[in-house]
Formats: sequence, structure tokens, C-alpha cells
Amino acid sequence: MKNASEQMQILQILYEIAMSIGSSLDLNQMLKASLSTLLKKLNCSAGGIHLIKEARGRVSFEQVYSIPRNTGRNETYQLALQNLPPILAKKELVNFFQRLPLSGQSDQGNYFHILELPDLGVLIVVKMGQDLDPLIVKSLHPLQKKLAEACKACLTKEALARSERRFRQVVSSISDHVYMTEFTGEGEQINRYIAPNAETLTGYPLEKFRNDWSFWPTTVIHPDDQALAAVQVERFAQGQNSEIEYRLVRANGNIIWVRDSGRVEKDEDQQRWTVYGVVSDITERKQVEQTLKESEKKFRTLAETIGSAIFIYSDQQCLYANPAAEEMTGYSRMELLKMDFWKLVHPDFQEMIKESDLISLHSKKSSSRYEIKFLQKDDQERWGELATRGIDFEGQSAELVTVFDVTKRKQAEEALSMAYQKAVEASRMKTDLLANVSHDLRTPLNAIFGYTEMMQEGVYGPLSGRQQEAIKKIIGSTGQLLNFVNNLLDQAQIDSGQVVLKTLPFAPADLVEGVTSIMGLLARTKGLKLISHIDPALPPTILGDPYWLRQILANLVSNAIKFTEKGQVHINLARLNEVYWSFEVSDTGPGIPPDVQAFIFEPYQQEDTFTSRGSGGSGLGLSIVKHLTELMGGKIDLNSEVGKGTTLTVALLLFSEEETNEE
Amino acid sequence: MSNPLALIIEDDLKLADIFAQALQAADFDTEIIRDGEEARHRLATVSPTVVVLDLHLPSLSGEQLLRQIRAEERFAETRVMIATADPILAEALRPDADLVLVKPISFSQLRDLAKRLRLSGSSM
Repeated sequence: MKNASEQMQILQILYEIAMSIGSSLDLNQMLKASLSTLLKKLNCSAGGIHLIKEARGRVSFEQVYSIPRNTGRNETYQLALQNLPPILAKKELVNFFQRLPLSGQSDQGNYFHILELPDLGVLIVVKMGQDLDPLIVKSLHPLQKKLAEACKACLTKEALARSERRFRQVVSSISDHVYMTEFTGEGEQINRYIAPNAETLTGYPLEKFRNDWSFWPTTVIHPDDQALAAVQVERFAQGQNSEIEYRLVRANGNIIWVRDSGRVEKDEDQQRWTVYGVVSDITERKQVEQTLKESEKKFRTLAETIGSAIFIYSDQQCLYANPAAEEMTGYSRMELLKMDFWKLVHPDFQEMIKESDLISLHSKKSSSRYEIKFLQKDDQERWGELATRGIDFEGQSAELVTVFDVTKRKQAEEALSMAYQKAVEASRMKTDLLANVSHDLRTPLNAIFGYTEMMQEGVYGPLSGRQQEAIKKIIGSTGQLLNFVNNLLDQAQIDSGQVVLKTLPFAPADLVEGVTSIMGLLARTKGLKLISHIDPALPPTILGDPYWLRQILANLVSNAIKFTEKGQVHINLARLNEVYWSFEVSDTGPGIPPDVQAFIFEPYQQEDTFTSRGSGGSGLGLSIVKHLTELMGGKIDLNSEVGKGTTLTVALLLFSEEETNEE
Repeated sequence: MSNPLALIIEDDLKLADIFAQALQAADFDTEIIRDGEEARHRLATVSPTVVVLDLHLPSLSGEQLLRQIRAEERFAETRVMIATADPILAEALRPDADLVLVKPISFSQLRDLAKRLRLSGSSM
């Protein structure tokens, strides 16, 4: 049993231990040192450090250190540890240690003292030769407390260090650049910290910034933005938070945009404050903003200069109107913004627009277009092409309405339509006039023909040879005049597109009769025979347009008489087969050379037509004969050989009334 | 025995004369009427064998006369020859006519047609 002064001495030692290790950074080191000193001073042979663990209501402990190193880990000790009951009170722990046999230490009794460091879960177990005096044990309590505090302080330091390490890791792992600057009330600026990210951000080595704190504001910040940055520093100096955006010139000359955001934290005495700043690269965002701005500017410029009126409506409220809208409507932009859209639309078109859902002002339908009349401020009517489309405008659903003034186009269309009507009317009047003229000319021509023919026939007594010659000339000239009159009307009708083919029943015999009446006279006068033959296989009545058929036949016969000086002109109507019938006109004229055949159906020039008429009357021209034939669904063939005459055959589809009736 | 009657309804006197001479050459008696209304009155009392009918007439058109002739049974044997300068109208009336002649009409052609008619008695 040690005396009280000895025990006090122990206490003093313990206290010293606690104090001496209090400043140590490492908790393990501290505990080990304290155990070792304790054993030595108390002249004890063994002791250990145990961590108490509590999990799910169960208390367990683990020996983390022991002196001597091997003793605490002998088999009995380990076995005992493993066989601990599940729930163990601290008192039982003491019992446990007291029962524990320790090899090689038989000369001493098993007295243990356990120092618990509350809240830390640490037990320092010391095996002693004798039990400690309860007084000493009691006086150990403040020591325990001190030691626990020292350990806690140690832990806090460790935690701080860990936190610092973590902070640096975080700082180095983020792309933002972080800095810390201290300001004093006197305006002094002390740069405390600059994160390594400054290197990544700027491309300059970190040393540049650490060696020269003015490097950032004078070299890295874009010259145009340095004044702005200086204002920020001024704000910091006054203890105010500040966030600005400026450009940096990187080491490679590239320019990037950053946001520099600093928060001020004042010390308790308010005499010093620290600015914690974050510098973030916002180049990408700036570029997007810039692109948006440019695009917005581009479209605004477009909208402001374009000739079409542009309106944006949302819930019947006009949000935007461009200058063209002002010009087109006569209203000012302010008036338009306050005005109801429908006031601009001519009443005749409002229903149509509403019904067609053209301006739903809500739907996101694809663009629709309409031609409408709109009203100007002075009630003038204009034509506009209206197009609408649902859009998002400044975050709300809106309707884009564009109006293109098509008044001039409409007027031109109307003028064109009127001009066309006038032209058609003029053309019709011309045809009517020609029809009247040709009708009025036919009657006197008929009288000339009639009396001349009667003279020729000897109705008025015999004629001398010279008189007969004169009569022939009169008949020839009258024939030319007749051709001219006929063609005048036909030509006009064809030119004006007024040829309407009819389907009428007619007798092929009548067709021939009508043509040979005057043509026979002309042929006889020229000393030619005009012979006609009608195929008995041809039905007595067939369907077609007898007027235009007669014009075609008359022209072919007229041409044949014109070019034939001797012999005959033969008209032959035939049934070719079940489907076709034909009429052919052959002559004993000079024939047509192959080079002329090549273009004989080409349209004649107007002058040529007149010339040829003047020199004998070429009829409608073979091009028009061909045109009419094809209009009737038929075809025309030319067969001619120089010296052997010419045959022109018109083949047409055969429709007879009988056949039609049978069907 | 008198010749069959040919009524020539034609407002142009010269043409009417030519037609009359052609028909006379085919042994027809001829009578010339130059007005539509007058022709209607005359047709109430005579039934000609042949009517040479112009379409454009004063007071009553040839078309109306043709319709009247075709409407009356007593004209069943009357042959109507349209003689007109209007080929379009002529074609339209062709179904009601026995013959359509478009002016100018040859003297000899009309004479020969009339002769054929006299010989055949009815059909042309």
C-alpha cells in the first residue's frame, strides 16, 4: 500500500502526462505515450488501450494497443475477449480484467485500474500490483476529464486537418478558381490564398500569381475590363459583396469570360474581413448569350426592315408590331398595341377567318395562309396575304401574324382579267364583224356568179370567143374573191379559238354537192374535169361537223384546181374499214417536190398567206387543214410525185347515225 | 297542163331572179316573194312543189317559215331547199330541210338539181 504522498506523486505524474500530451497532434501517439509513462511511473508491468464500441445497444471493446506488446495478446486474453457476454457493463469489464491471468506475473496481485475517457469510447487499463486508494481514484477524476478534453482537442485538430485536406481536394477538383483575400479597416489588402485552378483557368503558372499579386488585375484581366474589376476591389475594401463578369486574356491570347463572385465575412471585431471569391468560366454561357443576342438582333432588324407587316398577339393582345405594320395600316405602333386585331380585318373576311380557325391565338398549328381584305386607319381597303403561326414569345404562347400587301398584285390581276375579257370580247366582235362582212359579200358574189354563169350557159344568147374568154376571167376572179371571203371568216374563227366542232348527221353526197357547186364552175372555166365518186359502202348519213368538213374539202379541191392546168381533179369518198372513212382529192397537176413536201404542213406566215391568196388563193393553207383534221381526231396524208400529180387523203373516224342508234 | 310551182323566198332580187331562171330552166313555174310575212300569207293559199328558202328575211325569218311548213300536213310533199349565206345556221336547220345550199349557189347546179327533182318526181 503506497502512502498518500506517493499517490499524490502519481497523480502529479498523470497530470503532467496529460498536459504534456495535450498539444500533441496525434491521438494514438498521445494515448500510447500516456500509457507508457503511466506504467513506468506506477511501476506497473502491463496495461492496454481499448476502444469501446457501441452498436445496436451492444457494448463491445477492442484492444488497440498494449504493453508489453505480446502480453496483452496472449491466448487466454484473446479467448476471454471473444467469450465476452453480449452486453457488458463497465463494472463487468473490471471484473473481466481482474480475473484475467497474466503469465509470468505471479508475484503480483491482479489489480486493474481503468481510466475511461468519456465521449471518446477509450479505456486505459492499467494492471497494478495493488489496488489504488479510493481517494486517489476519486482524485483521478479531474485528470480523466482533462485527458479527455486533451484527446477531444486533438481529435478536433485532426478533424480540422482532414477538413483542410478535403477542402484542398475539393478546390483542386473543381474547375472554378478560388481565392481568399483579407482586408483591414485601414484599407490594407492581404491576399491569403489563390487556388491552383488559376493555372488551368488562365494558362499561366501558379507562381506568377503567388509571386506577384498584381499580375491578375493588370495582366490577366482584359484591359477593357480592368476598370470594372477595380471597382469590385473597391467594394470589397468597403466590406461589400460583389459579383461582376469580365474577360480574361489567357496565356495563349484567347479571351474567356468569367464571373467573379466574392462574399465578405467579417471578423468579430469588424475591423478585418475576408473575401471568399470564386471565379467561374462562363465563356460558353456568354457565347450562347451572344449568339442569342445576335440572332435576336438579326431577327429584330429583319422584322424592322421587312416589307411585310408583322404582329405578335397573345390572348387577343398585340405584343409587337413592326414598322411595316404601321405603314401598311396607317396606325402608329402605340395604336396597334392597344387595338383589337379584328378592327384591321374587313368585315367580309372576319367570319371566314374565325371559321377556318386561322387565328386561334392558342394553337400551335402549322402556318396557314389566306388572302383577305384589311382596313387602313382611313378606312381604305387593301388586299393582304395573311399568314399565322403559333410561337413562344417571351415565355408565353403567342400567335405570329404576318400580312403581305398584295393590293398591287390583286389590282394587276384584276386589270389583267379585265384586259383578257376585253381581248376576248374584241376577238369575238372581230369574228362577228367578219361573219357579217362575209355574209354580206356572199350575196352580191352569188349574183355575179349567177349572171356570169347564165351568160356562159347562153341564157342571154350566144357569145363570141372573146366574150367567152372574158366570162372565164370574171368567173376565175370571182372564185378568188369567194375563197378570200370564206377564208377570212374561217381564219378569224380558228385564230380566236372559236372553232367548236359539232356532231351532226349529214349525207356524204351533200358534202360533195356543196363543194362541187362553185368548184365545178371554177374547174370547168379552167378546162378541168371535176369528178366525184362516193363509195356505196359508206352509210347514207354519217356524223361529223359538215361545215368544217366542207371547208377542208373545199380547200383541198380549190388547191388542186389552182395548181392543175390540164386534166382532172378527182374527189373520192370511201369507207376504209369498220373504223375509218376518208375523202381524198387527187389531181393531175405537177406534183410536189420532196423538199417542199417536208414543210407543206408547216404554218404559213401571214404575208405568205396573203401573197398566195393574191396569186390565186391557197385556201386555208394545209397547216390549218391539218389542224382541223386532227381536231376531228383524223389524220391527213400526202402522196405526191413530181410529174404524176398529188393525192391528199383525210381519214376520219366513222360514226354513222344508224350505228349510233343500234347501240 | 301547168308546171309545178317553185316558190322562191329571197329578199335579194338579183339572186331571186337567178334562182327563178334556174328553176324555169328545169320547167318549174316560179313565184318570187321577198318578205317573210308575205311568204307566210302566200303559203296559206298555195302548196308549192319546191320552196327555195333564204333564212335572213324581213319581218319573219326563214327559220320560222321552215318550222311552219314542217308543221303542216299539206306541205308533206313540198321540198324545201335552204339557200343561205349563213353556213352555221344552215347546218343547224339541215335536219328539217331537204337540201341545204350555201351561197354562192351556182346557176347550173340549182338547175341540175331541179331537173333531177322533176325526173324523179319526189326525192332529190
